[in-house]
Amino acid sequence: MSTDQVKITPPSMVPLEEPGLRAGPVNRVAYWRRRLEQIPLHTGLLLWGTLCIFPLLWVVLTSFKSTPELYSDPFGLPKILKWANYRDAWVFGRMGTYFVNSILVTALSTVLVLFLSSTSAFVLARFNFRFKGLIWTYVLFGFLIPHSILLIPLAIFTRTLGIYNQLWGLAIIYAAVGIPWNTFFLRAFMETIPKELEEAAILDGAGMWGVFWNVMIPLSQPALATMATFHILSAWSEYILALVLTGTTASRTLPVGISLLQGTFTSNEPGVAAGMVITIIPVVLAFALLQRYVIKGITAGAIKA
Amino acid sequence: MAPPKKRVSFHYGSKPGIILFLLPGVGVYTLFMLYPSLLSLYYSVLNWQGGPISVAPFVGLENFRQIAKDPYVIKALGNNLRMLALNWAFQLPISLLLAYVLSRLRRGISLYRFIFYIPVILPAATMALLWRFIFSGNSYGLLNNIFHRAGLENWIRPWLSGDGIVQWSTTFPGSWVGIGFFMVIFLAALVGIPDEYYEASAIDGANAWQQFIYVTIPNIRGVYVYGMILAVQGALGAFIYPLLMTKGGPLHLSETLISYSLYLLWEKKIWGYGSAVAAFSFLLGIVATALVWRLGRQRPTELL
Repeated sequence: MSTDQVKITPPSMVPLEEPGLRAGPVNRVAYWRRRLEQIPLHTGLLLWGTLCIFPLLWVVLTSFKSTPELYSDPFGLPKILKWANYRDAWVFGRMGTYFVNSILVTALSTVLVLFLSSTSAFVLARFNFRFKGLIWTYVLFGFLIPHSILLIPLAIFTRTLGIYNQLWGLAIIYAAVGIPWNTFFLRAFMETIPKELEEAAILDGAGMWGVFWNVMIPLSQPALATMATFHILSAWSEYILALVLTGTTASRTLPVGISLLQGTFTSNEPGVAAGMVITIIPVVLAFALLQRYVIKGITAGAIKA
Repeated sequence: MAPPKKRVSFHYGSKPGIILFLLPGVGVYTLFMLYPSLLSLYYSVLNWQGGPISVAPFVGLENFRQIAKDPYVIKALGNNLRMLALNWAFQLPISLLLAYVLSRLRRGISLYRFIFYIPVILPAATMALLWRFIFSGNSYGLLNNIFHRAGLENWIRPWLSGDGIVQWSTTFPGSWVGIGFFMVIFLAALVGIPDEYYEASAIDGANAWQQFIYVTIPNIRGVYVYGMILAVQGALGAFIYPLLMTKGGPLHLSETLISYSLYLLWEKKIWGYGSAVAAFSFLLGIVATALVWRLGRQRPTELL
């Protein structure tokens, strides 16, 4: 692929520019005033950052303590690192099973939602046909539907279909509730892709699928990456649908598992804390790696609205 | 997984092609999102106490009449409004302030943004447990411990059980967690304001505060209204913190509309009325969204 193909960037995907020095320093006094002005700003931000991070560090600390240590001094350091808490959570608390389940559901539903949304988005971005506006409104109506009103109908309906308590069933539901937002975003992106490449592919004899798969999908990669990141983070954290649509240990996911742990590990708070760390680490790592996609996605959503 | 690559007989843009491309997405959406939501509205006009749906009698709007008389619904709605008040008076202004401060930084923006956003991406179920630790009345309860050590003994409270306190302890976390999200949105909007506007106002002699009022605020109004709408939806849809911190208790004091509907549906198995409570919250959300959107669109020339 040549470089000018890669550079196609619609307005919404322009990376955030870091606001640097606005105008060059006029003189020494103004320069130092600007530098000093930064100190209170950093102080305030560091305070807020501490509020965000301190509770998490406390959980990590707690996860290495024994229960008596926690009760006698909640802020003290553990005398010895009690790794057994992690074994308790992973094995007896079944967090290991839940962990694998969460990975499977998240991965499968991400692939599904990208496929289901990009096919519709492609057609909506490229062609004019009857009822196009109607179909568009119909899909966007999904923005208004809260998950909470789907629970009882889905709990019954998934049993009828035989996908209740199945990981892939949960993955389909996650994909379904992601379709409106993903279709919306992908259509907006695909509309900004120039048509020349498609025309060239059609001249070479490509059919509709060929154009979609070999031209549109590769060119939509930035948008697909953003959407995938969002979906991964939300599927990993989703609680209520997973609670209602799965019923046995073998098919529970992490968020449901951690809330159950609290019930089974009475007076083993360090074990619960270890379980919490297990749910936290993968998302923080994923977020550290994929941060720019998250930021782009939220920002684009806000600017379009 | 994507289907295997195959030779396609229909030509580019043909009607069957369009239909085949639309079908998977629109179909799955219809089956698992739109259809269940309509079913839910249907359940809300039935007197359905579990059991087969075929014997559940149609009662029209009777469930909704009952909602108006249910003291727990009134209390739950109060907690949703409490959260809305927190969102509007605390969450959004703090988010804007943080974004504004970040936008004036010369370096370190992405590091701060990363840290501030972490609470947003963590699973809410985990965050709810964390807030239970913070508010716990046991000897390890973080907040009471901090007050104790700081010598503020009379600030110590039964955060998760006291009437008039637990309602705040279960709404505050949800509101607090959203700050990182709104901060990112506002920051993007702030960065998008052209420097020339600030330079022009500086030439006119505006100080930092005047610049904020006359340049910053009008330029991010649209995004702020969008934030207000999301905050309304967040407040009306809230349930996970009360559910996992107190189970809506004690005595349903900290219930929100949705957590109360979950209680009716799952603990009491009153499916008709429980669905009606959820539908009520959903309809309220639509009305409130439309209202804020309308109000936000009007140019408040008299305000500025």
